[in-house]
Amino acid sequence: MGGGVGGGVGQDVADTRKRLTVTVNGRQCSLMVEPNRTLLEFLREDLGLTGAREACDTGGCGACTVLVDGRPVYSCLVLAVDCQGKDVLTIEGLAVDGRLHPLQQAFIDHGAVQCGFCTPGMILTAKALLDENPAPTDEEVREAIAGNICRCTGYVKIIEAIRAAGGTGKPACT
Amino acid sequence: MGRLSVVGTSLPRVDAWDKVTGRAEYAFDVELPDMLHVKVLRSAYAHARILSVDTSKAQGLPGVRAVITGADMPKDPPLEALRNELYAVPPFSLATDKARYTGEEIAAVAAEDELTAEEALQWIRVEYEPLPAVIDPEEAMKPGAPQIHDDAENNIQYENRTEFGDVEKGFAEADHVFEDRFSTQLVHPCTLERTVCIAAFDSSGYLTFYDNSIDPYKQSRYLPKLLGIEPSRLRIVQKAIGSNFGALQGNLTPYIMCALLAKKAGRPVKLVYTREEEFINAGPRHMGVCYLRTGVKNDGTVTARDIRLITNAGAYGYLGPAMMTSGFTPCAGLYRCPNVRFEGKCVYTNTAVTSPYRSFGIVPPAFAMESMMNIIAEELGMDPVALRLKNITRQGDVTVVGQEISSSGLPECIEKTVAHIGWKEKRGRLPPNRGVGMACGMFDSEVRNAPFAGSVAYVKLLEDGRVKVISGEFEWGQGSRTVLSQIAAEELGVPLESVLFSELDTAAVPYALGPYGGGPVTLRGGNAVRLAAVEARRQLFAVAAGMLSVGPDDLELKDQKVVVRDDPVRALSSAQVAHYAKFILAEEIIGRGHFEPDTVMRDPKTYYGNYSSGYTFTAQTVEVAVDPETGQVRILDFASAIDLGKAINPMAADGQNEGCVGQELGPILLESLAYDKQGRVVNPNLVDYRLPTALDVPPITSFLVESHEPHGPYGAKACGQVSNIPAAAALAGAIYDAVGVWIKDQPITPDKILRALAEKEKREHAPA
Ligand code: FES
Ligand code: FES
Repeated sequence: MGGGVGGGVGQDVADTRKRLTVTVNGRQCSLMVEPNRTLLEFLREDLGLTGAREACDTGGCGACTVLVDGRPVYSCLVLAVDCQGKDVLTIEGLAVDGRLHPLQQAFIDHGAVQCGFCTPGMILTAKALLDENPAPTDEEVREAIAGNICRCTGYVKIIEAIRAAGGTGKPACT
Repeated sequence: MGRLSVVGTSLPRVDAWDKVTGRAEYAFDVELPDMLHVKVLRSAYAHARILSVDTSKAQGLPGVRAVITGADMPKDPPLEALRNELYAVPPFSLATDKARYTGEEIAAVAAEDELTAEEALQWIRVEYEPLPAVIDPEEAMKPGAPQIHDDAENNIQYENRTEFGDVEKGFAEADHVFEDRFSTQLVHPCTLERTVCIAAFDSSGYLTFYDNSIDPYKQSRYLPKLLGIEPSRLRIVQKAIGSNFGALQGNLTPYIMCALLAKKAGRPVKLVYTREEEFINAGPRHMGVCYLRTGVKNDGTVTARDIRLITNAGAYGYLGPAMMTSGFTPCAGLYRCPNVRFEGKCVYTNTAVTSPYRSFGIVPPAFAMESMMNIIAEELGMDPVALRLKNITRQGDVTVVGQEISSSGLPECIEKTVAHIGWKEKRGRLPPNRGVGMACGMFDSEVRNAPFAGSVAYVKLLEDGRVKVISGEFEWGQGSRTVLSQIAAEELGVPLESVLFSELDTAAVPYALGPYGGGPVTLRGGNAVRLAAVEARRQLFAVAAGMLSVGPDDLELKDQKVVVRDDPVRALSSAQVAHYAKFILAEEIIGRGHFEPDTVMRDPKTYYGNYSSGYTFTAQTVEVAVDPETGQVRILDFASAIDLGKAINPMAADGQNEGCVGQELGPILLESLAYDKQGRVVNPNLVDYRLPTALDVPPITSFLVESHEPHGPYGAKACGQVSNIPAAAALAGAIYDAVGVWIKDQPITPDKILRALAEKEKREHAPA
């Protein structure tokens, strides 16, 4: 994780930054951030967590999705300072000790990844779904990921992977 | 060929782990020390004379390090020299005297951060003299339309007419002649990652670009000429790509801007397009208007086709002519009709420079031709499937435009998809407002559109037994590295995990043509990698033979060991042999493979020629429900079959098939890049420009048909860009079957269906 942020940098305007204490991927971070900094900028630029992707910056694609207190948000639309005291999960925090989360494994096994730009956001959205509803129907998966655009896959294998990770899908082909 | 163990298997992608963990590095993620950020000032008018550009105030802003305008462009770039190779030459520079579309580059700023760069743009004063603009290509051809380029009368960038057989005779032989107009709209490929260009000079003046463009080779070949740099002093490095479907293939302007700014500022610079810039500047798919006449006998034999295609070339008409050729020839070749006439016109309009977007130019004419086949079947009272089977080109044919069909599984594609949908039981027999439709398509599996059409690869056996593929073929997300790695793994008897792939660095890997018109990586690159791996295996055996004092022919490869066939206890691991070769013999085990297809370029005038060493076919059948009250179309089932010769990785091939269909449903049903009368894009964002979501894409059933192409590696052909070709016509046919109206103008929106239903109602109730 990139450190070295939050020191007093010489600036020609008054320092408007606020202290933000937030848990990111299980680790507590405490940094000074500008009040207008988005959660996406905070994650990518201040913490070096580039797994959250930016594709529109206006809430139109879902590539920047991360979980805040377990719920998917478009991090490009959320202010970092609004995450005070909250728990943020990014794609980098999903695998534990090098062991992939079942969703990550299912995305690999089912060929749900092509260019991969939508993948982190898609997996996190799916995680929130499965945490609440471990055996979603095809329709429920479609509704849950309707805010995440994928340009490559036609969603077919993504839906398959999510349902398989939830235990309701068919096994991966071999 | 023995039994295959890696090729033909649905193995996970080689880059999947990096992508699911968020570690994959895209150009967007690249940050260099001391890097500046670039913002571009774009024309506020669709058509205007530029009287002056004053950057002095912007230059003086704190944090601004360099500003460039058209005046900073290299003087007299050798555009003429490039013209032959690049079909048409956009300015590849900032506008100087005239802006020809809203969004054209006028000035660019490099500053310490994006906000400063953006603020600086507001201090640049441009004096414009607005001119009338024209957006529609048919309007642009009319006398009195605003003239966009001085040397293009009636705004015609390119026109051509070619005829095969005797079209008039063909029409005379016909029992029926059908005539219609079909059209498609401007749509945007909307890659998820936006255009990124990073330029950095090192202290010796060596220039490195990091990018996510479609074609680093074209860039690395032409940029030195345009920038006045020696070719060996420039390279392009490509990271993971957040998808690419063809937009702005070979656009050099971002590179030129970044190189000039980096030079002026003496620091690296990074340009990232905003989503709005993507829409207004980064190459939408051209719109096409197709006037089509088809002559047909009572038994369904097609006797003549007359095709008139008008496309908008945008403001600079970059690849328009190439897309004409590339779109027309497979449409002509799909059926056996010997009498075909084609007349094509690319027309300048005041819109963004149009660009290929999946299956290079074929969507407008294919929609027309396949829709008309369905209309003909209906009018003749024939089954559309029977009409296709009567007329389709077959394996062994040389088509009317010269394509040599060395393999075709099209009949099986048709059969599989109609069986899946239950065509026989359903066509014309479903309850009201439900219907089925089908259509076919053909595309090249690779293409010779330049004298160079080959591929070169190196395959190296490393001292730990791993294999490294060094190839210039690119990965845009479609899975090409996985497929090429599977081929190397197959030939060298290693598991896929043991294959490494070179980073794409134009200074370090062999030149490649890129996936032009047909996603030809599998066919061309696959052959080259296979030959390289076979050669590496030969070297491996030669070294092992020396170590074991046997002849190379006495050896075989088993479980990553080189084994003496008749005495299997005598064996060496490939790692041992490679280690010995490298550190004792001072020889690397490295095979070179070169593949050159036996093809010709299409004649530029007649378009005749066998330009691909294999052709991919597809058939699709679909079932829909149409709500006659709202005009909503619900796709109930979509079956898509591709004849890809041989599936090297069936799971990846299914992914291409499904993804291609899912993506094309956007242009067919939802999307339209809309310009207002002043020539501004009215929906340049992902909220107003509606891309298909998981709720819009129906279940898609993919079938892979293996016809074993003799020129392909293991019989493989391309599969990445054929499934979007028939989709619109298949859907239009299903909508007709459901509610009895033909929609001939894309996108097929509810309001068009309602309008057509109202007209039908009026006709049916009109007094006779
Ligand atoms: S980048 Fe946040 S929704 Fe697109
Ligand atoms: S895999 Fe490319 S956008 Fe989803």
